[in-house]
Amino acid sequence: MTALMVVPLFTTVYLSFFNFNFGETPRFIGLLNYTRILEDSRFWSAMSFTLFYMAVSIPIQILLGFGLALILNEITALKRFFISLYLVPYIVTPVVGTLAISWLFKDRGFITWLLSLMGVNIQWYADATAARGLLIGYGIWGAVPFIMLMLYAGLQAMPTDPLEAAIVDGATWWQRVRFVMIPYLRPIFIFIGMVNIMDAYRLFDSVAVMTQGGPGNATATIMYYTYSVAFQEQLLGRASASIVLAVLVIVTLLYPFLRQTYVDIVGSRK
Amino acid sequence: MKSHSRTSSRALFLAIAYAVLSVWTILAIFPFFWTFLISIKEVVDAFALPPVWVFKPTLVAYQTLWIKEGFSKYLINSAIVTFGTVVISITVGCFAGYGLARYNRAAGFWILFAAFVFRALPRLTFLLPFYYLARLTGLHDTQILLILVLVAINQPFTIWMLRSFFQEIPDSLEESAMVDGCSRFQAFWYVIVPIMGPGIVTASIFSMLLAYNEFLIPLILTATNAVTMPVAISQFGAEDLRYWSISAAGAISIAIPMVIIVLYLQKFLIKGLTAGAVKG
Repeated sequence: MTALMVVPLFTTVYLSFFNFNFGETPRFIGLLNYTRILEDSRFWSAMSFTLFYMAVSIPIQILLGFGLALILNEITALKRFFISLYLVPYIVTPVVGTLAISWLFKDRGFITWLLSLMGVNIQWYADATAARGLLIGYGIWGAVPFIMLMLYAGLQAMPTDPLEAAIVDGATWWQRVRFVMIPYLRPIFIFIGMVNIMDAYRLFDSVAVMTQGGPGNATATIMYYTYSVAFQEQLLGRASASIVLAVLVIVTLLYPFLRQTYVDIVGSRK
Repeated sequence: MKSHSRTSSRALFLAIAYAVLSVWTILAIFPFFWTFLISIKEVVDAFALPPVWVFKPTLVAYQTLWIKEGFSKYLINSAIVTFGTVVISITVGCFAGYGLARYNRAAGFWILFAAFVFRALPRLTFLLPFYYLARLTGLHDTQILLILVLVAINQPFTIWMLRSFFQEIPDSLEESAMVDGCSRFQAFWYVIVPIMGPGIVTASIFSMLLAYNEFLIPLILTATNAVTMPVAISQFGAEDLRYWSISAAGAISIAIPMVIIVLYLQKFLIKGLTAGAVKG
């Protein structure tokens, strides 16, 4: 099983040093694939959009998800009803969710029309900023249910003693959130942070279905760029180099989280 | 007096709480509701502005989708791939997870690490070589290949999750079974696995969602024969208005089985969401 994954990983690294196209004999070209990628402005624009997407959407996702989880934790009536409905965007196939959202924002879509009634005319797929905003909005919409459920379940599993002690000591609701709940939920926040960084980084489905990277190159993510190099330009070697660079970036981003998890799980056993 | 102000501020809080929850409910559900409306409208009505609210529902789009476009082929592919992935990864995951549950916590970290690396590293890292090999070996565009790749990506995650469920079961249970004359395997099979029922359902749901919803893997590894539903629907004519109703019918058709199954089993899903993260 490990071989099934590790071998392809090394193959990708290996291929990245070859001029390797479909139906041709691979030819060793050293670092040429890497210099070609690094000289390609589309690579940089894809990388910067991907990082921008992560920087904007992840904090909003976590704030919204935590807010909803706190509210769900306080109420009693209709709780299961809300949770069931919130699960729907999480369960539904991302391609389906993307299509559902994309129709609302087409030129003849319902939301575009509602906005035009209010005097706001936006062509969501023709304007670079609007298209980026749409993808970010979709990302938030899709990720909040998972975050909310994780944190809600964490709050439910929380022991009541420290909370009651805090109430006796006269802590306000906000102080309880800040000094009792958030520290208790820390491992879940770290887990969510990691999962969301990884998911946001490999954003592909919604780009491929909704905008195809357009207008121009405005919404191409690093995965979408690599996919086009591999399957539209048919340059497998160059796409491999792009993937290797992409992996280096994500590993760097995740390193602090992994270290923290290691300390939490292994270190605490001392 | 004081208790009075506390009740009224509680009432205010609840009013705001339910308002916020309702707004998010609308945000979460409206896109699917709208898609459903598109799918049961005549094409002229589907994109009429202002929207047509009163109309005679029609199933023409569904008929075209399932009969003319042969959507059932993609459903069968999706079903085979999903079923195969779940069965294999859960079987392997039970044995491996059980074995590992009896090791130390450091092992836990490394499985978690592998789970992240395999499941989270960009799919393309593995897919480019897989694609090339599959073309060479003739496995390209087969359901077996899809199952293999999905199992490989999913396996560490499944092992990790099942391991954390196994860990909740005290060692004494199978020890006493073994004292009573069970072999290690019998103790595992007749004593531990039945208790694990809910954990197995939870892990199955996650594998099922992964396999059923995956887009990039079948997009790259299939061409015509093994195409699954998400890939098929993404390739319906996107700009041709006539196809929008059919696409919408397809979107609803893909969503319904999963929504029913998972909502029915939702308590297992919620259990799984917490199991791993809190304990490790």
